[in-house]
Amino acid sequence: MAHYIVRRLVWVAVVLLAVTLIVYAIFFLLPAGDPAVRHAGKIPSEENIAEVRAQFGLDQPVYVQYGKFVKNFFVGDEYGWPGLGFSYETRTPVRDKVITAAPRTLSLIAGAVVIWLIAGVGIGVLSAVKRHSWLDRLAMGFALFGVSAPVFWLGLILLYVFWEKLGWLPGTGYVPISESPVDWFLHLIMPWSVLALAFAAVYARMTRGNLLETMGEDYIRTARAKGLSERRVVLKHGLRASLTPIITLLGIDMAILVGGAVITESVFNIQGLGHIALTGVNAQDLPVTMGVIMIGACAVVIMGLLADIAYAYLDPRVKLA
Amino acid sequence: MPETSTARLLEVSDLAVHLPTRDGVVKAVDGISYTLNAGETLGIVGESGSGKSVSCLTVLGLINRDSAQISGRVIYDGSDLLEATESELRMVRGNEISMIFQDPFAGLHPLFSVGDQLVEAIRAHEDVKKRVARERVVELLHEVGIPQAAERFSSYPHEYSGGMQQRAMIAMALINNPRILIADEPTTALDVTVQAQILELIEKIKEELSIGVILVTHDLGVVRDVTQNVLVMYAGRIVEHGSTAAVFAEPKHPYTWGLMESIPLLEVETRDLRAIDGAPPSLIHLPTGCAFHPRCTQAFEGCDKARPELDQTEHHQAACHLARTDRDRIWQERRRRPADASR
Amino acid sequence: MTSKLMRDEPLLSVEGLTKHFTTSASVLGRKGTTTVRAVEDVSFEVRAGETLGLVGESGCGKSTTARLIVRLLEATAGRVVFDGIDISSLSRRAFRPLRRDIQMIFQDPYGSLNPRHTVGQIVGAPFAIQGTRGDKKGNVGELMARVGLNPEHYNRYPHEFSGGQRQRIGVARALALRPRLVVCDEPVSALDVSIQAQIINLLSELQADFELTYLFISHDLSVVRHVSDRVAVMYLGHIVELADAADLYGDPHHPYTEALLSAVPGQAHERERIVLRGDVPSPTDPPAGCPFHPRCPRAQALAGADGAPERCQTERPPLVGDGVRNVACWYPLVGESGQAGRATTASR
Repeated sequence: MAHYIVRRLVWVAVVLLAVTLIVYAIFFLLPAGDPAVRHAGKIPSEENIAEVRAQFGLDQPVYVQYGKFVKNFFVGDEYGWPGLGFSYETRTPVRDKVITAAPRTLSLIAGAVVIWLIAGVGIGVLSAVKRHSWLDRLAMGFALFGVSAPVFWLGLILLYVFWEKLGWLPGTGYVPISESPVDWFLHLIMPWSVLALAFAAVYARMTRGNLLETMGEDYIRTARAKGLSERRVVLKHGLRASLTPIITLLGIDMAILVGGAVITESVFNIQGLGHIALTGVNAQDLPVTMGVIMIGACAVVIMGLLADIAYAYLDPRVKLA
Repeated sequence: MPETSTARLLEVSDLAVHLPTRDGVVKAVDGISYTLNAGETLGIVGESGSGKSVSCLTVLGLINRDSAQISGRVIYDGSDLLEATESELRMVRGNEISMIFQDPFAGLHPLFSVGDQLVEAIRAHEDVKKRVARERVVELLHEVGIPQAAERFSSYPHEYSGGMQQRAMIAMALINNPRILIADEPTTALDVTVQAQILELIEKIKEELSIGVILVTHDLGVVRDVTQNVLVMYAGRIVEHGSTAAVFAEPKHPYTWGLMESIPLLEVETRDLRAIDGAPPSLIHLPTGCAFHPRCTQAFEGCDKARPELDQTEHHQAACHLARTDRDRIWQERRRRPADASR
Repeated sequence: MTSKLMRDEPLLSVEGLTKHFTTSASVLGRKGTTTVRAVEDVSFEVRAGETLGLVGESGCGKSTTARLIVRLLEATAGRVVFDGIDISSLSRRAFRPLRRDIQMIFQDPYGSLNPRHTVGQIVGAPFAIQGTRGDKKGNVGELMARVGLNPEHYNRYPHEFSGGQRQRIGVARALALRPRLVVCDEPVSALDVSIQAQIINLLSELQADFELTYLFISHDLSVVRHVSDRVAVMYLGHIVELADAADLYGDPHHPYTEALLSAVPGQAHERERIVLRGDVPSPTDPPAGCPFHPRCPRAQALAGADGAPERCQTERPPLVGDGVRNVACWYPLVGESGQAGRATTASR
């Protein structure tokens, strides 16, 4: 087991290296203008540009810049670990930006996960148990809606109804939980719901499908034959086997959202990681873009590892080796 | 045949199970009756689609009672299980009547330890502490021949061999001291030497606990070795019913003859196998009259008209239009053929 | 089925055939690999026109042996000589022309037929692959009729047939190119008893008509007895006994063969049932010495204070004999005539 984890962590490093290479390559190979020119002021002189270039390290060869970035990432720089560099645009350490933005994104993801798991699995179980009933059809109709409704549209509708018209909920923005848990919660209800909807729909369909398949297994017949109540047969024997693959998927889905809840963050002005990634890209602010991408990539590979470990823990037939 | 002296455990009469499908109604079981006594092993033999498994699942209400059309009576302990509510049935399942199945690996939940699955079976019927249940489980696992039962308690099904898995299933079925054990092809998925172990175990249990056993199988050899009485089923109906000794000595139905003549025998060097021509009929569109008549070598005019009933006069019954004397004579002739003589 | 008693050349000869499946666990190299010793040093011959039965319980290596012979798997060691040619050393390309001579019939007639192809396509495919010209449809129709299928069903799909008919399709496909050796791997195990007999009879008729040689693999001892001229019994990757069918069934020399035969249910005369204890050991970690010794009733009967006879525990008995009767056992059941004598070694 420990052997396996060590090996996987080595892989994590390899994957991260590959990610940095690809992003660097895109940034330097695709012509989009010189960042130094862009950040040297309104009417820059040659000296200004040279100065900025030296300040950003852009005067050095690409491989030196790259080497420095990789080294800083793994070892840390003058602002601490992991070293993510210095924003061209705001002239502040990227690490600070990330540290400010991360709790916002994590708050968003955490709440959404709770909602989509409960709603998705709950609806999936109900519709599997009551297969072909009106309830099942309603649930699967909901699933179709959830998958197809665009997030920005849904977000705007919610804002219009609950903020603008009814005034029940505060509008956009984010309040740290340390400041006011209630405001934190109220500000996040709508983003949570919007983000969770599509996932809840996918999870509901998956739970339904898995559970229906499981309920046809021989061991379900055995469970009934030993005199268990139908409730226990479904919720213990059926669901236990159906949830294992879902848990694995959950890890990956959560990780992808670390850098990828861009639309939800934008609609509700949450200014999380997705938001700074977006501004970084728009401003050709390589260090910021890289920083968010690295954090996102770390999340994906580490959650992938955790998901595999969880899978081995949940299914005794799986051996990690 | 020991009959009147022993306690009657189960009485099935006119049981029919019709399953509506998109293509029509599948007459899986079409009017069967039998009784099971304590200390008796009753064999139900037939090919796939003969209704042998469905009839057993119906006894325990393990087929979907909402979609199936079930008629007849299944009298256990003075009441009709077909009329029982789901919660009444739940009390019977695994407690009074237990069932084991063909594929023990598929029948055990892959994600729970074997021990936990047995503990759960106890606690479904009895309010006991986990620790107490665990002790009983270990003891029983040991009794059914699982070595190092205490250590094996926490193992998962995939860590057991096929024979061990079936032993564990048997332990699960016996844990609440049932009065009836229904074994649906319990050894079909197992190797022949393991089959011998499992059959020996079932035999021992039956003797010691004096329970009634229904053994469903397609293997005539198994029936011959371990049952006292046998039902031969074809297309959802009983075609022959009697003591195992009588049925093997003097089979009275052409289908039974065909079955016996189509299996190679270990002791006989060469013998032409007389295959039964054709294939079992569709259960949706059963042949008129006797369901076996299209494949029957003895069929005559009238077999396609009326459906034969089991003889009511004899102890050993068959459902065939041939006169009884003709059946006896034809069997004697078939048996005398040199190729068959050595049995 | 006829066994020719003339000293004919073997059509197939298998010499020291060995197959180990290795699963390596680690990328970084540490941690050992596990080796499944599926087939260990197996040698036998199949004579032209005969049926050699290969019998044993699941995991004994009989199906792996079949797959090695038709080269669905590559052997770890040993040779497979077909009609004088060492086919195990041929390249895939060089082997292709010989493929038509060696065909296989599988257990699961449904799983081995492409559900999207019609029967005509399935049975006709070998003609196309081997580039045989001529009236394909006519040939296929003729073959279908020969195996008991209605040639008018040429355009039907496998799911429209019953299990027995599907196995007939499998038989027709195997026979399309007039092979000389047919490896039958559990050909009737998935079928109902009344249908089994139809297929067994069909295989016998075809053997006579097409002068086929069969290697017939099954776990069903009665079926093997019925179809085979000679029988090899496998246990844990080894052949433990090989003899004429009547001799082997009437008077087994290996304690495993004896136990296996006694376990078959439904026998009319009283054969003392020997119920073997325990499970077959794992082929990843087979016992030293004779693979059967930990469960062997004979070894137990001869056991001294240190358990089974030392030889059984340390040295693997080779398959020896006069070419007619061969047994791999240090203490074979020879000379103790009749059931009664051997029954004393039985543990019941």
